[in-house]
Amino acid sequence: MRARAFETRYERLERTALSPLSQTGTGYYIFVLVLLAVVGFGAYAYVVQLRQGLVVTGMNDGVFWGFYIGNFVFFLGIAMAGTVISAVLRITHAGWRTPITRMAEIITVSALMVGGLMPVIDLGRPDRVWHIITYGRFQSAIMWDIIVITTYLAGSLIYLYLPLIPDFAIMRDKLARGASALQHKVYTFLAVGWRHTPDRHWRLEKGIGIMALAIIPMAVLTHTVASFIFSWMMRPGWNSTIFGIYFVIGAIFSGIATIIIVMAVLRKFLHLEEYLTERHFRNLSYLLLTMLFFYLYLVVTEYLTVGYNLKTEEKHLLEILILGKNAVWFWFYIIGGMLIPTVLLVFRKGPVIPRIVSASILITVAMWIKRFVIVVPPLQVPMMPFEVGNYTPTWIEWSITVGSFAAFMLIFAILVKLVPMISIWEMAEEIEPEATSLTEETPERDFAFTGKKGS
Amino acid sequence: MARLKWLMAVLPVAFFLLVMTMAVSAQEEIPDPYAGLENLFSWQDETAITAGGELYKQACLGCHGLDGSNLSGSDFSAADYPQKLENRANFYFWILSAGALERGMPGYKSSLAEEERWQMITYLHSLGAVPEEIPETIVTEPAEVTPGTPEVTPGTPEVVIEEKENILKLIAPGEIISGQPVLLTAYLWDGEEKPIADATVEFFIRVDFFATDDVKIGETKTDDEGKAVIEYSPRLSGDLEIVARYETVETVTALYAAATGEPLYKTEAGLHLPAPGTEIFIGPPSSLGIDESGSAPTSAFRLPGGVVSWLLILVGGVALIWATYLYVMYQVFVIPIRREIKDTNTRLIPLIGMAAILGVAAVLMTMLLTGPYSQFHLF
Repeated sequence: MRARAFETRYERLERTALSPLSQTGTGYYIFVLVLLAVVGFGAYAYVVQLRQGLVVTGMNDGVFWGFYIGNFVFFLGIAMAGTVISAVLRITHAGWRTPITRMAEIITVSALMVGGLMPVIDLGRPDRVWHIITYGRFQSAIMWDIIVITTYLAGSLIYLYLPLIPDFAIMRDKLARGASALQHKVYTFLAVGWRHTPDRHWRLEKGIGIMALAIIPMAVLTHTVASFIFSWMMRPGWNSTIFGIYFVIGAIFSGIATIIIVMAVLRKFLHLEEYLTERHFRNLSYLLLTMLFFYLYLVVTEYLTVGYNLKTEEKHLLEILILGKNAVWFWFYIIGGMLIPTVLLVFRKGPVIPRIVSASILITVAMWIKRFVIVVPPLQVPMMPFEVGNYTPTWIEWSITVGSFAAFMLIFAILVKLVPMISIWEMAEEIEPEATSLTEETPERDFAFTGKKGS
Repeated sequence: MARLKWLMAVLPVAFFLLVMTMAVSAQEEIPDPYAGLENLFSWQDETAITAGGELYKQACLGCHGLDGSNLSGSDFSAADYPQKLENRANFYFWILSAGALERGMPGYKSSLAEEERWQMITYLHSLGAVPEEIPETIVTEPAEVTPGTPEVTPGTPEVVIEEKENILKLIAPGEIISGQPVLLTAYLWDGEEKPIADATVEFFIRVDFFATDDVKIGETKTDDEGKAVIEYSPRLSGDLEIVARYETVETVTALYAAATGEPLYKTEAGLHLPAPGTEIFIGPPSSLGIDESGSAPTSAFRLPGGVVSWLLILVGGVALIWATYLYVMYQVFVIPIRREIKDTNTRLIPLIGMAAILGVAAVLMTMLLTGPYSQFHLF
């Protein structure tokens, strides 16, 4: 850390944002090692599953989907919110968004990477994924799913990359000394010869604007198509027209909660207190509460509709949800995911950030459970005249599930060391009008981004 | 001897007719139960003629007309008709019983007893023999006259003066199969038995569902002969009552609809949207139908262009979004200024990006486009 008596706001920003890239404590290594161990154990469990087949899981003829598909929907949900929050806030020019967008975009990319693996893990013969390309019917929702997820992932990567270009340029120039030659080379490549001139700036903003507009329908489509996989099947609890919007709202809901958690963690460990203030948490909590009410509304509509005419199989479903073998999950999700967070978010007593973060943690856990409640109980309704509806996840499924969460965090942990977690150049644009000392020293606007060599 | 003489006279004509009918259609050879039958009644049996006349009014009048001359193909009022009947009574009895549906004649063997059918044949014989016999009254069921003065058209005062009840007659085949279309024919005459043209006749089915009510099944205008025809496919089975109504006059006829046990609505796979030209379809035609094994429809909504339309929509969507990606990546590609590129080719990353975008988009689109061709082994 450079000890200086006089440090401008911009310099402080740059130092805070870039320090994780050059300084790494032992805590970080331990954390990464623990994550690697968990991911490794999940990988071991997967190898066991590959060798022995899906018989090692709790899935069977009746309940043919379990944790994996639940995880898939959950990660897709998180992925959706990250980019949508970022894009919507960008399009609406919400000024407070700037320190949040980068994290949200990274959440999207890493969640999509982990979530996209889940259906493959769910297959007994993953080598046959290839058959979707060679034998896929375009009428099948699974084909649509592959297309939208691929497209969404590609779009998210581009959308993450574009605002990184000026930051890569800063790193190229700033980290020139401390970093290895390879690192410098990589940053030079990634910065694409960026100089902060108006025409380049214009091109970049244009690209970001187009992507922000394009990514929102892609995100909505991704989750809608994922919901089609359920709602196009004639199963009680799935075959519902509400499912598209149900999944989309649920995704935004759980995604905002995840963003809040990630913000809180990074704020603490990367010392971003100056940039991620209570205001950001509070603003996001308003969004979170809005989505909670939206989602509550959809949940009530859904269950009231099927509960009102109560067809035989729907009755069975509601029984096993509310009173039967899934009641614990169901009520945890209603009380822990809806009621308690509502109380925490509405009654503003106590410290702001811990209050909002605990609501978010509850919501994230509850939304994972909600995905379980969506996937498994409808399969436990016996549609055939024999009993098929039992599902107990095995250690394989638990290990892979925990491993997938660890993988999500691991991707984050690695990216923390590669890219700044807050967008330096966009933050600089915001503080620029205030930072008069900057403009006094160098009239060129270029200054802040090319860096002061030798300072 | 007299009979033989008759026979001698008629034989050439009968032979000629026989040859003609056989030549026209082999079906007109009288089949077994009817071959050799003879009229149960004497041709001059007054009771049979009266009874036959009543039956005629109910069943035949609608198409054949009051004097039997409506249909030129079988003109009962023709001078030679009684002779024809006498010669080949069993032939006409067969047609009356089994019907000749290709000519629009329904069969009455299930709705009329054999005796009744012979009574009707006997009545037909009298139609040609007696000059212009018009039934005195037509059975009608005048509906209760609605309170209030009936609408009087100033231009036609005669109607008001006459004050005779209009006559409405409803004809329907006695027995039909539920779910299959039948023609319901109503005839409308004024008090002087002249057809009323261009009048709206409404048709109802009398439904008994806790309370009896008439449910409208259609309406149409009468033509110059006072005839109003609608097509109707009953969805109910059993004894049905069909009602025809014109202003205050209504008439009821019974109809027996046999249940087939099959669903009334059969559908081909998917919702077929109207389109000019033929639907383009890739794959075996069997995949368009839902057969006993219930094969899955190709797609729920069969768009005008068929499979091709769906493919175009999907491929178009994919192409649009990936073209957008390509355009954005191109914006990145032109960020580095060429003369500034020195030791490091800073355009490498966007170049790789553009290649990746093109590659993935190509795979996705190929996957979609080859989809319909990859499934032939399943059919």
